Amino acid sequence: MAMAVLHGQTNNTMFAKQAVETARDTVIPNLLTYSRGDNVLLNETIPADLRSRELLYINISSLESGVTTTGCFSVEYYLEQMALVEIMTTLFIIMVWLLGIVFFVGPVMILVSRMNPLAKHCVVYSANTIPFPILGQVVEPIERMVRLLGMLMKDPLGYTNTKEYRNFMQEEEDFAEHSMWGKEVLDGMETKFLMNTLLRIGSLMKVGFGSAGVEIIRDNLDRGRKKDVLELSRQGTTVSCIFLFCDIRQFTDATECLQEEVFVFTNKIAAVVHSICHSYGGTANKNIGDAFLVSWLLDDETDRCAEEKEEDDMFATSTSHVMFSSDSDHLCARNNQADKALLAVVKISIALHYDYFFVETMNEEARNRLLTKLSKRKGPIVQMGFGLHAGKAVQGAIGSPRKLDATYISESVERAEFLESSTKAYGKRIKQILSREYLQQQLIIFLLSQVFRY
Amino acid sequence: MSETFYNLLDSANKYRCRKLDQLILLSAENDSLVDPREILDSGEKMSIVSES
Repeated sequence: MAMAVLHGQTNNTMFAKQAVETARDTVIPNLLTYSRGDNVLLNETIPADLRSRELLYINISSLESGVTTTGCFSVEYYLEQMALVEIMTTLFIIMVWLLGIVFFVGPVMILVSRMNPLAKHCVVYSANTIPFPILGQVVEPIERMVRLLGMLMKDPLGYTNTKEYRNFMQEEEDFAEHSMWGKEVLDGMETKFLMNTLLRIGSLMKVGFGSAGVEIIRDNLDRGRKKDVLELSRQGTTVSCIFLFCDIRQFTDATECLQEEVFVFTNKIAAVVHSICHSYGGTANKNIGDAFLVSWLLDDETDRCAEEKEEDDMFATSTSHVMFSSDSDHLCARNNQADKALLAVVKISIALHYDYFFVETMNEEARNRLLTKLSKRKGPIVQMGFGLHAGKAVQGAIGSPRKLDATYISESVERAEFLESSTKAYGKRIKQILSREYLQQQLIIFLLSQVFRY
Repeated sequence: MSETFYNLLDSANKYRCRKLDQLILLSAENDSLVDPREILDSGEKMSIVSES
C-alpha cells in the first residue's frame, strides 16, 4: 500500500526524494532501496546478515507511462513475529496434547512404559502442576504379560522359584500399592485376567508333574528348546534320594463304602501327607491310587560326609555286622534329610488320628457305611503303612509328547514299597511273616531280633 | 525303614529306633538254595528298622 502511494508521489522528481524519506521515517522504516525507472532515490546498505527470504522486493508499473518503481524491504521483523506465533501455537498444541494424554489417553499410555528404562526418567505434569513419575503409575499389562510368558517359556514348571519371578511379583505389589488406579480398575483389566489365566496354567502344570517332576521336565524342555520340541531321547540323570512310600490301609473297603466320595477321602489324606512332607523338605513325586511316593534329595558325596558317617557309626547302637547295599556307602544327608523324613512320617501318623478331619465333608450315608465297615478295626479311621529307604535313582521323563510323566526308576523305590508292604506282616503272627509267598518273591525274612507288633 | 536310611539319621534319632529284622535279598541264581546256612551266606542283607 505504501509502495502504491510512493509510486504516485515520486512522479515529480523535485519532491521524489523528500517523499521517500518522509515515507521511510513514518510508515515504512524497513524500506532499504527505492528506485523509479533508472533513478535511484534511496540506496541504503542491505545488512549482510539478512537472508534472501528476509528481503521483499515490490515492483509497481504504470500502464499509461510505463514507469516502474521498485522497493526493497526488510521483512526480518515480520518473520520473527510469525515464527514466534508459530512457536507459541506449537507449544499450545503440545500442552493440549499432554493434557489429553494425562486425562483421556492416560489408561492407554499405562500400557507403555514401565518396562522401558528410559521411562524411568519421564515425568508428566498434571493439570494442577503436581509432577508424578510415569514409573509406578503406568501399568503396562501387556508388557508384563509378555514378560510372564517369557518366564513361562523359559521354565514352565519352576518359574515361580526363580529370582526373576520373585522380582516380578514384588514389582506387581509395589505397582498396585502406588498406582493412581484403584485395585478394582487394575483387576478389571482384560490383560490382568489373561495373566492370571497364564499363572493358573503354570500352577496346574506344576501340580500335574509334582514338585519332584519339575526339575525333570524342566531339564527335558531345556534340552529341546532350540527345536521347540520335548527332548525325550536323552538319558536320565542319577540322583541320591530318600524315598518314602506310604499306602492307605484297607483302601478297597473304603472305596466300596464311599464310592464317589472316595476321591474326597483320598485327597484329604494326600493333602495331609504332601503338606507335612513338603514342610520337611520332601517333594511329592507320584500318587498311585491309594499310595504316595515322596522323595528327599540327598547331598552329593563328599569326604566330609564320609568322616561324619564314621563318627556316627561309633555312636550307633547297632552291633550287628550287616552288609549294606552297594549304593548306601555313598549317601550323604548333610542337611538332616533323613531326620526330616522320619519326623514327617511321625507327624503324618499323629495327624491320621484326627478322624473328624477326614470324614467331615462326606455325606452322612457314605460316612456311616465306612464307620460300620471299619468298626472292628482298632485305631484311627485312616491307617497307613510307611516304607523309608535311601539310595540312588535314575530320574527322567517317561512318555511321549502326548503324555509325559516325571519319574524315578530305581531298585530303591521298589525297596521302599516292599518295606511298606512288609509292615502289614508285622501286625500279624510270626508264622505269617515267614509265609511261602515271601519265599517265592526271592525275599526271605529271617527273624533275628524280637518281633515288633503294632 | 531300611538300614540304609537308618544310617543317614542323626545319632539322636538313631537311639529312638530299633532293629526289627534282617532281610536277605537273593538273586535269581540263588533261588534254588534250600539250606538256611547257604542262604545266609549268599545273599545281600538288609536290616529293617522301626521308630520305637
